Amino acid sequence: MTFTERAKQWLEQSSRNSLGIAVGVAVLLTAVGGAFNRGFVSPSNLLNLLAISSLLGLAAAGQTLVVLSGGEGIDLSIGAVISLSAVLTSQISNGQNGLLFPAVVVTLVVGALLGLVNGLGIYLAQVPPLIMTLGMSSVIEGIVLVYTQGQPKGQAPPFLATLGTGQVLGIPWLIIVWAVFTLIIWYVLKHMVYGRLLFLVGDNRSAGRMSGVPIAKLVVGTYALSGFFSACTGILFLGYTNTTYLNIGDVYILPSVAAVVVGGTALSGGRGGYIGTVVGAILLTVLDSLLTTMHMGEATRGIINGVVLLVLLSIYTRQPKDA
Amino acid sequence: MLTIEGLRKEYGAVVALQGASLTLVPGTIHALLGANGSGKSTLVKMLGGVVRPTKGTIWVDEQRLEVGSPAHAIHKGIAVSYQETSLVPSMSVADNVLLGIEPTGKAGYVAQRSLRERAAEILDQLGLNIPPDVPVGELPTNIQHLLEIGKALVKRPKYMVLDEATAALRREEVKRLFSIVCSLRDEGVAILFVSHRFDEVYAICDRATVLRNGAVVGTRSLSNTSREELIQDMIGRRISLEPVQQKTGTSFKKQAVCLKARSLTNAELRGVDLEVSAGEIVGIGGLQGQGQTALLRALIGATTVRGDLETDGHQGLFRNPSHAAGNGVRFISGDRGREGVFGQRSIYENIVIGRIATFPLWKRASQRGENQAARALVEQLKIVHHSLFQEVRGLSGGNQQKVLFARTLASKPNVVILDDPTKGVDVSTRMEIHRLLRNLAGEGVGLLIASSDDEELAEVCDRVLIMYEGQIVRELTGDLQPSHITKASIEGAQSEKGKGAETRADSL
Amino acid sequence: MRTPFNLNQRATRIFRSPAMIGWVLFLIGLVANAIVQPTLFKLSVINSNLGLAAPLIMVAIGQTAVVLAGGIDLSVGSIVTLTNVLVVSLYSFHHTGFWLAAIFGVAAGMAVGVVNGFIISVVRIPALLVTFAMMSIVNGVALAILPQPGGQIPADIYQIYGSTVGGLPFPFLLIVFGVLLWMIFRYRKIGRYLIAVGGADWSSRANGIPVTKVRFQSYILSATFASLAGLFLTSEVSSGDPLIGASYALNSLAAVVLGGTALAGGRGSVSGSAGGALFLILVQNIVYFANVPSYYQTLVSGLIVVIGLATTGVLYVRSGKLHLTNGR
Repeated sequence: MTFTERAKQWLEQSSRNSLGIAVGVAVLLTAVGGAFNRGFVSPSNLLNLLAISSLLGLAAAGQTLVVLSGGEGIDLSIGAVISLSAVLTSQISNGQNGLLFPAVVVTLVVGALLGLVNGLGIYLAQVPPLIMTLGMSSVIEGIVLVYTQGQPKGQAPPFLATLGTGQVLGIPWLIIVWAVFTLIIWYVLKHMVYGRLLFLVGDNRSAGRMSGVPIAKLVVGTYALSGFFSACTGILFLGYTNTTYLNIGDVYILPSVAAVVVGGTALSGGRGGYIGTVVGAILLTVLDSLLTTMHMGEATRGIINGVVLLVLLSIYTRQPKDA
Repeated sequence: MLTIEGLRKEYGAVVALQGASLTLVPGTIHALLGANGSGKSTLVKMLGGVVRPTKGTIWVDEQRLEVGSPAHAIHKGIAVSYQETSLVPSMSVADNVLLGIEPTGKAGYVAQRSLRERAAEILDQLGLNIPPDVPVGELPTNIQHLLEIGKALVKRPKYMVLDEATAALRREEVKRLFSIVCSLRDEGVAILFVSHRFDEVYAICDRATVLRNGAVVGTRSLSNTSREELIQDMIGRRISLEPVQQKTGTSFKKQAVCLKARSLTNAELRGVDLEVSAGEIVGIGGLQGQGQTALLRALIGATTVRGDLETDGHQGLFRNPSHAAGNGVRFISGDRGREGVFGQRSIYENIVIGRIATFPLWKRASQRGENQAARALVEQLKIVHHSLFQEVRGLSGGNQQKVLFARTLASKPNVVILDDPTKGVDVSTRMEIHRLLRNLAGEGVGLLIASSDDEELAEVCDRVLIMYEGQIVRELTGDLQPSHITKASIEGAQSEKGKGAETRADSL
Repeated sequence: MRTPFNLNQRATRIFRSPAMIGWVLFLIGLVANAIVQPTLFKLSVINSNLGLAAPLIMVAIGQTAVVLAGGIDLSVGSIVTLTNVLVVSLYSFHHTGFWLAAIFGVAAGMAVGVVNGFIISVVRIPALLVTFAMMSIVNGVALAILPQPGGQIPADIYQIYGSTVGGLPFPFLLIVFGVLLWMIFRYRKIGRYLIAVGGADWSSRANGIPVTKVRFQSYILSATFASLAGLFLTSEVSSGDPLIGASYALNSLAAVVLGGTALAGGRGSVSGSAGGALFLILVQNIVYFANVPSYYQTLVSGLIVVIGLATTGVLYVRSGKLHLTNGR
């Protein structure tokens, strides 16, 4: 690539630079937090915020792929899969390191299979993704109830607990895990055939089909991946909280969508990327933490969260008028 | 009297129309001509109020038309039949015909009975025998286009605009339309007739305005203007009307067969057999809607079909387009916007997908030198662009079509199947595309081209198959002439095989 | 081209109409429910079932209006909650009369619809996102108004809701009221325009339909129906709860889809959605009365709904696609 072309490419992308705006807002919010309370910007608190963001960031990884895949893609079953995964891992491993490996394998397979069912319903039966994943989430909640008889047992094995709450050289393990995931997802989206095709198919599914892309595999696979990433999140979430209860993942359903959108990925598909979601997850976490620091009640937090989301959206998702 | 004064439309940096002026006189039919992208559609849409001009005014009967307001345009007596139709597929025929001008009763409820009556009148006038409560999305294209015209008629306009209204119609429907239009003219309606077909323009129009690159070249009275003069106005330089390339007839030497289909049958096809050899260009002609598109789709597995298929290294029908692509059979759809380009993605990505579409999903896609390869294709095809990374939707139709070709070239195909490869493309791009097709065949690729343009088929094909009602009824070889193909298409209906097909369909 | 249109086709058209899916599901549900619960057709049982169904049907009617016009309203649940907490807290803690409280409650809900409509149609931000953010805001407001469940409404209102009028269950009359209210809109121009805008917005514009206004109105309609649903629900449960409406956004969408309305817009009907809503209510019943162990109930009802959705989807795919050549 010549230098001028690189420059042109950069300009083209930054003409709709929602990512830049998101970074700016995140920094601004952090600064406001610092103004209220010095401790907010202390390195340890910042690292802690990042660690919390990492769980949301992971939960939103699958969401990013699904949204990118187009066709009004969205995955609202993320919360239920996270809950189920935390429960599965804790009950199978029963708090023992030795059983962690089989527990993780089973959990990941189950997560991916549930995602696969989503994908099949959406692709083959043409159920709108919003409705399909929603219906599946009540099915999965049902599975959790049946599996636990309403009383989740077990806890995180020590190794997982370390991963969830421990640090290495002062840096929480969660951040390191997230960084590794981010790198992998970036590579997949940027360099793998799957990622390249995902953007194109998300932009125009019929054109993808006619150009010979195996749409069924790609779309169904994307929902399966989303289930897989949700399962990963559930496992790490168990490590973070150490114990588990029913519907533990519900708090991630809507924020995962918000993180994707705030990060500049178009809900119509085909445009955006995971780096944006990373920034979005950090922004939402900082905002939530800031509101808590300022002693806002749950009601006010909900209102402000909504308003911030609306304002950000009106900045960068305004649709052009046709004429 | 309707007068357009200095209409200008800019889309960002692109100027679609740069100050067009013309006058519609009551009781005349005025043709609007121009190559693709000359600004005809933009002008039409401004008249209809769908597009707001950047500058300029439209005067209707000495009053200024409120621009950018379809409701006001309708109120002022302007009715437009759009090229892309302005129908709502899920609504019924009657509801569509009176959409936006529903008669209402005292309490504000829509008067169903009078709505149906008025719709029935219009259907009668158009000679359409369809029940008024069918959703229009279930009707065939030509009927949809007739309804679009009906929508304009029902408004009893003083100024009627017909944008490519005849493109999808059959001969007898065009005749009927012309008699309606002429009687409207006699009643004092002014008609703006936008068309590509010169014989139609000469048949009914009084004057013609030619647009080129968004500017009016001039308005001429048709009674003392020749086709050549109009074409020269449209193109801006002198070209000969002779086909670019006259082939020497039987120059093609048979090579290995690379695509062989046997008795393809489904709802639209009734036992189609065909063969394409490596290096051969086979055309599919016929009247519109005789199963040409269905045949192409069946070949690549985009629709369900029974029958048998054989290609280089593959035996049997393809399950889906991806399966076909994996076996070297590539398709370029005639619906560029919907099934061709990825508008929001870059030229580069749009091309590279040709290479990677059928790779295993987990493989690494990036490759050393893929930039250079894509750039080489862009340059080879002379795609007008300012960056390899600009969005494809910013390109003109012709350049988008070339991007699709670049994509196909990048895929190194054995067989390429094309539907209307030069639809909506200007004359010079069309010639370039034809050259490309010949070159591709020269490299040993087998090509199958369906086209509604008989000149194109004559110019580029080694052999032309004529379809009628889902069957191939004629095969033309040797020295192909557009008129022969047209004649064969019309005769297809009368041919022995055509009759046989009908009887067979009846006995089923 | 052959033109095989005849009377038969008219019959098939009715059977293939999207609403049929909703009503067939409802009938299947009804039969299944009657088998597991023999008392189903007793007046008191019908009364209590319809009492549960009335709010959902109301929300689903409003949701249908928005979905027909090509939009979506995720904030309906929060509007139900808002009306509920406003009515209850105005009546119980600020001692306004019940009817004044009711008017305030419904007006507040409609105001949310106005804001939604304005942001979506005039500022032009995707509906999914706007109503999603609005849900968060309105739920916050509801929580601020009534942080804990509590309060009450006049006993006679609660009793009327559970009673019969002229031999007909009162909730049934409310459902009829809701449907009539919808018909007032459906058979005017606005009813057609909702479908036109949702089916093909460019075409609608070209035909002089005020697209922005129609979209705007669809959100006001949906909010109106949702706040009426909030009022009905308040009469049913007779107290306030800041989380009471949480399930309505998604259940109303499920009802709409089960009723054969295309989420893409332009195709569908309110009657289908009503069928879908009734089906959802019946599923809860069936699972309960079929003696499904309590831990299995969520799973079974979830599975029934998902299978219903998939069946609807497959039927829809088969029912033939509408297409416009050259259309937008």
